[in-house]
This record gives sequence, structure tokens and C-alpha cells, in this order.
Amino acid sequence: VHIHCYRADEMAIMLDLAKEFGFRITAFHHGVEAYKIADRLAAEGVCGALWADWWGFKMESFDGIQENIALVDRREERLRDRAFGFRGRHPAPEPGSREGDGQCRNRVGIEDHAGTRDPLAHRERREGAGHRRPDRHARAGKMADVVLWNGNPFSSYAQAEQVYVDGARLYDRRDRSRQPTSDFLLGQDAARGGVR
Amino acid sequence: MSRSPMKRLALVAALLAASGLASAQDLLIRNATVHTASTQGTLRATDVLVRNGRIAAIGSGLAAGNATVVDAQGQPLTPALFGGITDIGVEEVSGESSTVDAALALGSGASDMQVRPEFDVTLAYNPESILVPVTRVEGFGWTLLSAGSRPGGSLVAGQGGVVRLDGSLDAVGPRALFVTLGGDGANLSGSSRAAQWMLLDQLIDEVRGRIPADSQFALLTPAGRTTLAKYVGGGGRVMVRIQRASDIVRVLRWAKARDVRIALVGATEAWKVASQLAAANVPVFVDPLVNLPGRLRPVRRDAGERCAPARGGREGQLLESGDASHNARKVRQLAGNAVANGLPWDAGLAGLTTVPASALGVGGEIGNTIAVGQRADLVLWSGDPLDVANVARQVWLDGRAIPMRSRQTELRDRYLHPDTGLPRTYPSDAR
Repeated sequence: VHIHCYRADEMAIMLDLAKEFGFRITAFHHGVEAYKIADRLAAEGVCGALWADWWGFKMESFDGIQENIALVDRREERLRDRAFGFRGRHPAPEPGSREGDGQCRNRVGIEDHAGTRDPLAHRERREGAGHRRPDRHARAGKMADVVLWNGNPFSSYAQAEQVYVDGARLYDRRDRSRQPTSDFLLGQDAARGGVR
Repeated sequence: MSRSPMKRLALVAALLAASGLASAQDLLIRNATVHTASTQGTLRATDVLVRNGRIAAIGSGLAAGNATVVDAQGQPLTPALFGGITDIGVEEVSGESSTVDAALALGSGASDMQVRPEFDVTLAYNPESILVPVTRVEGFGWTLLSAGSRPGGSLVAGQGGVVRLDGSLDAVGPRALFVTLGGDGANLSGSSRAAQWMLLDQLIDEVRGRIPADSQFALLTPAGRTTLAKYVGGGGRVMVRIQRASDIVRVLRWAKARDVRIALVGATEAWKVASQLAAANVPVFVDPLVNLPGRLRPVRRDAGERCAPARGGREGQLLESGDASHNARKVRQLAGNAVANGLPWDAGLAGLTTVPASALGVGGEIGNTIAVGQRADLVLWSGDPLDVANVARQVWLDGRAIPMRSRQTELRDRYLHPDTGLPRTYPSDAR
């Protein structure tokens, strides 16, 4: 069961209900207060699908902090493998922006490799696809869904050079034949009269 | 350099202990990589001396005298950054209307347009808003408060102004008039953007006396006429929220003919008419990440092209449009994204410092370059400030070390360590 929930007390109530009625919570989504119950989420094996920084748009989200993911995921409390990043803003930015993930990493000292590995590991658990999708390491036997970056993927400057799904090159920054155009955008440029 | 919070807190504590918070003290920052945001560019291994809240000297081996000394260890020093156009201090929780003062609607709905250019949103500004420290500790020293309107208001929304995030109550510098045109303003102009030109000219006719104040067509109060008159004929800056290229070209023509000094806000299609914007010397506030189609408005260019006005006309500045107030701190990341797509790094920094300060007429009110005589509004960073991976280590406003604390750092620190004994709501030394 996936549950959308902001506040720590409401997540705790749902965990109690899950225990009483015998269902399993896979993940809390958005979860801006997950850092307040990080130990309990770890003990019960529940994921967080967490924003990197989104907060303040309503009272439920008033206690959001940028370290939310980092506190839920940190090594020293053995809370690993609990959180994965969620994009930090609506509407979705262009591919490759990775809103805010670098920021949450730095505040409490999560290492770079943890920032890249855990979102993947938890996405596969969330989607129930752990047996097929690449997990914390690209390794033999996994489906070849990989991205080639031009630098640290958490940098503001990073760009995806090539994107492969099932080993097929579906995007290439340097190859126009691998840059798709949606139906909506088709003809928008061609039909444009131009503003002179 | 360790980035652990405990070390950062230790640094802040040392700074505060050495300096005393409230008084303006002299300050010497040694061995910084100084991004001046001026024609001096970047100065490596450089000292910056602050006396009485202003930059007194820039050089190497400067004498400290009685000044507090901070060793920058070669890290970047910039002016405090511009947080974009926001409702900081005017909106606390977006969804709680009782905490939001950003938009005016005195009329009963879309068919009851009340035009009140004299509305001044800065009079609602609360310097004790928790958004002020949340934004400030991320390296931001100032923002432009915007005036908005809802149906029952008008496409001429009212006035905003620049506030320093130093706890002061009053806005600084000139006010700016906010106007919404194009599709975003259609619900304020009888459901058609075409009516916006008719309504704007009707208001100008009234300011100029062609429509008498007692005419049935008069829309303004006496205070409104006085206010609007300041913005017609080359007076104050008019901030125009606008997106579509054809609307932008029309507003350029309109502003030239009526002698109105405009700046564009949003301007998702400004890249299409970048050369015209540069020729007209019109500042543009853009969000480099808005490249997805919305409201049947195709937008598809990379961030560098969307910042073409910044490159060509040196008058581009950066804006977070998604959640400008609570996430104002993301603006520097947007600058980095634009740099990744072709904007020169110096132009990215200028878009957060000198360019908006100049466009808004607050060059003397804001420390927007690191130069002798400037107000000492400074930020020491853990690394390249346009890369989200780095953080502000210390912010100074008028040479005062700002406590690097906010409600969010307090929440972080409360939950940083495992729960022991009494609940976390009790004092940490009693648990």
C-alpha cells in the first residue's frame, strides 16, 4: 500500500492501522515530516518517496526541511535504504535537472554514490521490479537502463549525454536522430509565422 | 573542507562570539576567491576589508587592525544574491489565505474591475516571517516583492518594492508597478487579451486628463491617478508579467509609444524576440527551467537560449517561477542550469546581483558588487555558488554576521540525533 502523507503523526497513525488490520505500507509519498520518525520507518521497513525541498504551500508541509531525505537515509543510524528522492517542484523541470538532490546530500554528509544508488534501489522496490531493473549497482544480469552523464549527476551543470533503456539508445544530446518530438510540439515551429 | 553541519555551526558560533551580533563591526575576510560581479571579474587569494558596514579595501595582505578576521581558505565570496520576485514576508503559507497578502481584489468578480495602482504590497511586509531567515541563510540578501491581483482587481495590480532580508521593516529604493498582460491576464480583461491595450490606454487617457476624473469612464481614485502618472512618461519601472512572443512585441511597441519603462517577468518566449528586447534595453526576468508546454503555449528551447536576452542584451535576470517565495533559494541552481546550457558564468552571477539591482534602481541600497564603497552584503560559499551542491557558509549584511539559523535548521538539529529519554520537545540539555 502506498500512502500520500505529509505529517509524522499521520504516518504513525497509518503504521498503527497497518498493524491492526494487517496490511503492509510500502512507501509514504511526499512525507515532508518523515525525518521526525526516521527510526520507526527504518524499523518497519517503510520507504519514503520524498521531496528534496518542497515546503510551505500548506500547513501540512510547513515543517519541511531540505535534510529530510538525508536524515531518513543516513548511515550512522542504520537507516539506509529508506528514502528515495522525489522531484522538487511542479511542473516537472526538464530532464536532467535533478532538483535539489545535491543540496540534501550535502547538509548531513551523504556521499555521492549513496545519492545515486538509493533512488534507484528504492524505485525498484516501490515499483515491485527489483528482479529486473538496475539496482544500486549496474551489474550483470540487470536490464540495461543507464544514463551517461557529462559530470557529477547531482551538479547543476550536469547534462545527460545519452540515455539507454533496455540497452537501446533512446536519447543522445549530440545526435539529432535520437531526440524525439512529441505530437503536441509537432509543427509548432514549422507553422509559426514568426514575430518580426 | 568538511561540510558537516557541526563544523559549520562551530564556524558560525566562532564568528558570533568574536563579533557580537547586533553592532556593525569591522571585518576582514582573508584569502577568498572574490567574485566581484563587476568589471574586475574574479580575484583569487584576495582579502576584503569591511569598515562601518561598507567595503573599505580589496587587496592582498590587508591589515586587520581591530577587525574580526575570517579565513576564507580560498572559498568563493560573492555579493548577497537577489532572491527573485517573491512574496517573502507577504505570504507565510500559500494555501492559508489569512497569511497571504500578495494579491488584491476589491471588486466582486471578473466583471467588476477595480483599478488601484496605489496599492502598495510592501506595507504588508513582515520582516519576522520565517521565510526571511530560511531564504537568507542560503545566501540571499534581497528580493523584489510583487503585487498581484485576482478577478475583481485589475491587470494593473499595484506596486511592489525591494526589501533587504536584514530584518528591516521598510522597502528600499523606488516602487515598481506590476501589470499582467497576455493569457495570464485574460481573466482580468473581459476574457480577451485584446482588451488589455484598450484598458491600458483608457487609464493613460485618464492620467493625462483626456478622461475627466468625474467621467463615467473614469476608473481611478485621485491617489491612483497620482500613482499611475509616476509610471507614464519615463518614470518608475513597470514590471509586465507576459509570456507570448507576439504579446511581448506589442508591449515593446506600446511602451515605446507611451514612454513607459518596462521590464518583463516570466517571458517564456523572450528568446524568440531577444534581439528586439536587447535593442529596446528592456530587462527580462526569466526562469531558465520553464521549457515545457503549458496552456497551449509551446515552449521548447534549452535554458541557454531562454536566457538569450541575458547574453545579448546583458539585461537578463533569473527567477524561480514554480514557488518563488518558499523556494527562492533555488534561484542560484537555476542560474547554474542556465550556465550548463550556454549562459556565461559571469552573466549568471550578474543575473543575481548587478543586473536586477540596476533594473530596479536599488544599486545604492543593495551591496550588489564587491567594490570599495559598496554596502558589505556578502556571502562566503563552500564552493561554486551556482552549483546546488554547495552551500552558503556565512552571510553578512552591512558587514554584520547573520546567524546561520532558521526555523528549518532548528527542526533539523532537533531531529539530527537519536531520541533518548525525554521527548525532543524538552530542552536538549535536560534530556
